[in-house]
Amino acid sequence: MDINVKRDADRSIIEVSGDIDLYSSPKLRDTVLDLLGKRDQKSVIVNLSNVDYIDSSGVASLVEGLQAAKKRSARFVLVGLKEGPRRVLELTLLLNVFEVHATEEDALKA
Amino acid sequence: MPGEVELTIASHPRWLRLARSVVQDYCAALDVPDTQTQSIVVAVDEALSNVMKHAYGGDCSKLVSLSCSTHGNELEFEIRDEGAAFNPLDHDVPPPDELRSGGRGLYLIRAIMDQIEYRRDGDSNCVRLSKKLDTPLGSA
Repeated sequence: MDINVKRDADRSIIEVSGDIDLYSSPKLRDTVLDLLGKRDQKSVIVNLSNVDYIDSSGVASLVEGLQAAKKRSARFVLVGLKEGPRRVLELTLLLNVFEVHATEEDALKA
Repeated sequence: MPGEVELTIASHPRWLRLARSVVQDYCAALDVPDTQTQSIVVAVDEALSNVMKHAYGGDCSKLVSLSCSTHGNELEFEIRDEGAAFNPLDHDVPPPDELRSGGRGLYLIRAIMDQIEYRRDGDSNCVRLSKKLDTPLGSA
């Protein structure tokens, strides 16, 4: 899994590519919490359009991001969900808990 | 009885991807529909992750084995390890909610698979996951 972060003054876009699993999810968690914590971002968009697979540890990392964002009144958004990750979020009853958009552009306009 | 496909990996999470690709290819060879394959891969991956996290407690130097087989119209995946006893059926799994940090792996396994069996076999854990196929084997 690779992570690329595009960061403005108070907004970040995390572009993830590859599988998010027990091996790779700590890197995603650290990135998300660093942006929302130390770097005090007001909006974090996670682009998952190049992610075919996410497991429960990856879902837990996203949930931690959402909770950290809520604590700071920041925005935490998922975009580009493919069928597999979307299904995992549906099964874990979390799809409606996140703000989800089709693309980064849609998220930025919303 | 040995499975049709067998894989043994070190208990390091870096090998989960390999295990997922084996399960995916196994399902593809049997013409299992893609949507069902995706779910099965999730369940087996979560079971292997549980071994690494719970039975071995993060010790990456051990071994986990996966055996894939068919029984009638069911796919069966047997996961064996020699870690501490860990019975996934002993754990209550309420529906996950936003605030819970863990427990989603077991929830996913139970939501996806039709049957989960556990036995302690000497010093080994043996978890068997079964899934009835939507489309009969060989009909595609």
